[in-house]
Amino acid sequence: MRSSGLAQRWLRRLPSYALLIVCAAILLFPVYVTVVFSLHPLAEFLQEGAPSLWPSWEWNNYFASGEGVSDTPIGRFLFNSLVMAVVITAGQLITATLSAYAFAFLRFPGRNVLFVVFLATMMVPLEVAIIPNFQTIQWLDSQFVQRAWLSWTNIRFIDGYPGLVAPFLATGFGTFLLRQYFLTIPRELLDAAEMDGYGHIRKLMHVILPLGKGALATLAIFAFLQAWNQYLWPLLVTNDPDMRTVQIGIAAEAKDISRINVAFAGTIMAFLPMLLLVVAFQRYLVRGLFGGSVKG
Amino acid sequence: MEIQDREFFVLLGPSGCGKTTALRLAAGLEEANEGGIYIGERRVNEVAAKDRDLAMVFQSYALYPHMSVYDNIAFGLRMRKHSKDEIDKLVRDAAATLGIDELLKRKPGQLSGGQRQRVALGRAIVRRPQAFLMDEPLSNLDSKMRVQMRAELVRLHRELGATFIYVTHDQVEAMTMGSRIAVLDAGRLQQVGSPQEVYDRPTNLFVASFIGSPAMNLLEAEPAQVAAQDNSKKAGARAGGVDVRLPAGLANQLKESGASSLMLGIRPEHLGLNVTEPAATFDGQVDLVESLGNEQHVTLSLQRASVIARLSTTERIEHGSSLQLSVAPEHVQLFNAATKERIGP
Repeated sequence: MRSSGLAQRWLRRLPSYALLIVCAAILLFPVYVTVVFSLHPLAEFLQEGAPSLWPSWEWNNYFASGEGVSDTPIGRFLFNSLVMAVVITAGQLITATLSAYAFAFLRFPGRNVLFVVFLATMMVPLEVAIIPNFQTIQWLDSQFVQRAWLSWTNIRFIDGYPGLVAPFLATGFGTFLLRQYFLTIPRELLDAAEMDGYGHIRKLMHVILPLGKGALATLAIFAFLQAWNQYLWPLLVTNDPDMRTVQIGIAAEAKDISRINVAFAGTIMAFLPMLLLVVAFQRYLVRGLFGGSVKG
Repeated sequence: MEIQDREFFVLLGPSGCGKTTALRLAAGLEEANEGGIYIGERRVNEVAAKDRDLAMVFQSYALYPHMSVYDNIAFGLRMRKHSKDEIDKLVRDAAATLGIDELLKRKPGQLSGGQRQRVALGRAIVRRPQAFLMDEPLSNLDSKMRVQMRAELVRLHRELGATFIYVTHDQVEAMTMGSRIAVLDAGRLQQVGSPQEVYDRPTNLFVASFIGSPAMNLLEAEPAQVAAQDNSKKAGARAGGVDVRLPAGLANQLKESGASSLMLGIRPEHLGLNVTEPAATFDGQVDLVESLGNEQHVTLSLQRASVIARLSTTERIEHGSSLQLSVAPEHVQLFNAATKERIGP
């Protein structure tokens, strides 16, 4: 009885499992291809027909001196990407926390209109804003180069980290995400803190942030992923190979057909940190998106 | 509205009547558009919540879920420049008063409703404020726990010797705990007085119908000449065809008031089967008998209305039978139906 019941349950689940396996295969196929291609020697790409879907374990793409990824400034690219992504993430956390607090808890004239304006920025794609953003950065850069009282700082917007991160330090999305979460925090908690003599900053630090960890982690991961995967903007504001981010660096490699195998290896190198990040913070991602739907 | 020092003052009213808003105004969590709020002689309209020396206990307890019970109670002290040892002593004293010393290391999520309530109280008493503001603190507890906490709050009030301002929509809480009650409706103060005063002499129809369970019977009536004991005609009232004799004092006040339409109020416990020299007697059919064990609530259908009487269970009363219920003159209350105000003392 028991075993046949188990078998029946499996049989009933079989169609949905089959569907899930197919979907997973479709999603994972490009990843698989990239991994396999990163382990092919260059000859595999130059021959007639498509490269084999079976790895030929050519580790030299990664490690051989003079020809592997280790020989390109991949370390420098990764470092640039990391600096950019960390600064953007930190910036978004700070600006989104502060603005979300204001929109969620402070009463001021025009609050709702202003919030709608914030939301509206989410509807503007990066590509639309990219020209004016670039002009702004270019102007800033020229100021820092020309004006004596600025130039001593040696800050550069073109070919510099400030230019890479500046347009992404504050987003409507982050404000929106955190505000929605903050609104689920019972008002009475803040009232109680206020009666106890806690001001805005202390309320934020001692009550809201500890309760909003999940939402903050969600925002941090989204911001980091987005920053890491930037392509168009870093391409625009960096010319110096030393300031390239990892995405640009790989793309540059890929243009050279004689380096295509190394480009695939580079892609895996760029992909690994993200994979680790997502695995490490997966529980926050899910909790942040669904948090608040169930009372704790 | 003036609240005396060390008083247990209850703000009572239906939901949405403005009692919580009144409390939040006193606390400094809302700003008053007009009018003054004073603590002692000091006008506090412009004083920040934290500087009013008040503590508030919230309906939802408002405990910080990420902090232990100890930290929850100590939270308010940390802002007030106490030394670490001082805080520790104060927290432990407060916990001992409330019998929660065993729970100090737990998180609010691991506590029962009653325990959370105690922690919320602990957070308030640890600061030794001039006054406590309590916003329906018992409404989330089950009925047994509520009775227990009611007694405990009264004890706490006595021990601390502080002023309590207590908001509730539960008249039982108001009657049992309050030294004085303020009844509010639709943002307006209806009556202030001791629980007994408010119960015995409601100033208007709202208070009359709001306080008491089952609620006071209210019957439409008009002034009339009615036959007295000696068959002479005297000023009285008539309610649904029934003559109601009034005590001389009340009859005079009715005349002075010039009211043309009335509401006649009789508490359910004042309707009886054997009342000597009744003011009025109502004939009707028993519609419903609800026995509570120690008493029974009998609904009697009259011609155009119905009344509820609270009778002892020694009388056996059958559903559908006819019954006569009477009321003594001193228990008849009159209200002006137009102004809804009380007529008489």
